Amino acid sequence: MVTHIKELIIVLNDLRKLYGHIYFILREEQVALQSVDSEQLSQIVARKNRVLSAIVVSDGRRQALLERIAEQVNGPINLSRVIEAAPADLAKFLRRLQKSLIRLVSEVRHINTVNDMVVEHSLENIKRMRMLSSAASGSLSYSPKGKIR
Amino acid sequence: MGIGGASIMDIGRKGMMASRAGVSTASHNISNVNTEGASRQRADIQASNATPAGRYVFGSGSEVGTVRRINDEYLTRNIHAENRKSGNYEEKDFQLMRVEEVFNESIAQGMSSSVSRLFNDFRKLSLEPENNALRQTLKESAQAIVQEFRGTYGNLKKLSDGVDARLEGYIKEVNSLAGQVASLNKQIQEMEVRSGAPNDLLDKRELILGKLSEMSGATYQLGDNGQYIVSLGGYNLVYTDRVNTVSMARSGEGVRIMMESNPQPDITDRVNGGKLGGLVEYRRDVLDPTMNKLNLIAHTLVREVNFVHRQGFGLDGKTARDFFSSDGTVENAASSIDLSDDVRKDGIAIAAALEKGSAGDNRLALMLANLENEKFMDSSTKTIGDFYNSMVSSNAVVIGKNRQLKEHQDIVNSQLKEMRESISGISMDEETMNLVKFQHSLDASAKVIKVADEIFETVLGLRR
Repeated sequence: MVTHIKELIIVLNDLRKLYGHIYFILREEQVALQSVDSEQLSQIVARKNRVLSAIVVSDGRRQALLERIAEQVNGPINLSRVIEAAPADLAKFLRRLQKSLIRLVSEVRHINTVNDMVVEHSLENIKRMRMLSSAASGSLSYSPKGKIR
Repeated sequence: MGIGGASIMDIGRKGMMASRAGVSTASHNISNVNTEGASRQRADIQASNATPAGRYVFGSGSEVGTVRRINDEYLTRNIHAENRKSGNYEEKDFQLMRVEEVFNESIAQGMSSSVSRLFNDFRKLSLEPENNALRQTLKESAQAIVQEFRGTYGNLKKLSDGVDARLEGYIKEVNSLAGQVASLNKQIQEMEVRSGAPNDLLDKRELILGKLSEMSGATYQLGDNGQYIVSLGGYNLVYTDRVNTVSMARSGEGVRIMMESNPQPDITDRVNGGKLGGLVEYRRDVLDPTMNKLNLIAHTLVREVNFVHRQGFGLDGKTARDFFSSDGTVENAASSIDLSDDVRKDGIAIAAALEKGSAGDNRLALMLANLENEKFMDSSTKTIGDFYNSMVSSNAVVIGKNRQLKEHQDIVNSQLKEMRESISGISMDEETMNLVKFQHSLDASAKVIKVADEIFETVLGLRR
């Protein structure tokens, strides 16, 4: 089990690095949104996709390792139970890692929610602006039911 | 008239004047590049009327039509509408941070742990009911609770007084800005009659309308005569060059915002944007309920502990004495809570026994300790500790949500300003193309954000 726990520590550490990476990408996304920079935004989406794929792979490894550990401790497993079952030195390390990851993921989720709100708001805004500019250019037409086309 | 020397000179003169107007407008733009609210101006140079000469029609050069402000009306209005929201979130964030500080348990011992300690000390006393040292410790714990209630309530009261002072300042500012809009309405109308569009004054009025929106949540619309009508809480604040000032009045319901028109409507609950609206909402939705809940907790604690305590006997054999004192009202409970005179004078007055003269009787001390688990609060669904914790955590949810909204609003505001700055007014097609491009990037971004959120949620399972 100790080998699996050590592997789990490596995976969690990878996840921590990936979340640190995505944190900065999300901050860059905010700057691109602020400055209406389409090219920067497209590049960020591509980079984000790469990091997200890496997170999915690492998280898959984390879950697989937890399942293997669960076979040895008999019963459902989560990180807190792994910490309880781990030798003291590893438990201490795991606890620190868990704390730092939770903090980082919460922060990342917070920024992601803010960016989501901004993107939705911006899309609404752009749709309205485009509708107004097409109205100004005289190309706006109405369907028989009064819907704007 | 033929196309003689004089006419050629005239065409040349008009061309030079048009070109000079263009240069002068460009200089104006450059010199105002850092002026807040100044929009770029453009000299529209148009062909002069052609001159017919016999069978021919000769062109007569160019001249300046108008100097127009290249400013997107929609974007400006949108920025002002967003200002209303950002003023609101910013003000609430500022105030909520202070509430957070009051309840930040990591700074002080905290009410929650003080209440637990008191009940724990009753439990300890039940193990050795005749121990005077334990009675002294219990007294100290009770004194700590008294200080927590009074201190916390005092800090909240200071926040409430701070809100009043801030409201007063904002109302002064709103009246001053409203006065400026009314005065500009008048100046602009006069200048438009005399010499055409006064672009700089229009910019200035727009800037002040933006500040007014951010400050008060006021909305505006253009009247028939080109003058803005500004509304606050559904009433006219500015109508052409007239102002209805706003004032503050104190009543039994606290501070109210009144419109100084005839009659004087109370617009407090109708102000729902800007910093003014943020303050009103913060007081109504967070500060007042928090102060009321704290009073309710103090009142319940005093009532329930006293009710049990009066049934028991102190070490001196006396009974029917209170443990806490207060003025008996719910609204002053947190500020008037204290130890009863008997308990403050001597710890032997603390009742631990249910029967007189029975040494070692700990039944009343146990009953007092068990109050910790009784569900007195919120229609008998919460213990005192649960109720306090739910009050703190519901405030934390409001604080977190508002912070998210504020951050989102800050980005949206910067984005709109950036969009307005980028308006060239030269090519509508190019601007539309840029919008389409940005829309595509946003669509792609939106999809990834949704996927990312699902992934992040899975990893949050780490908490368990």
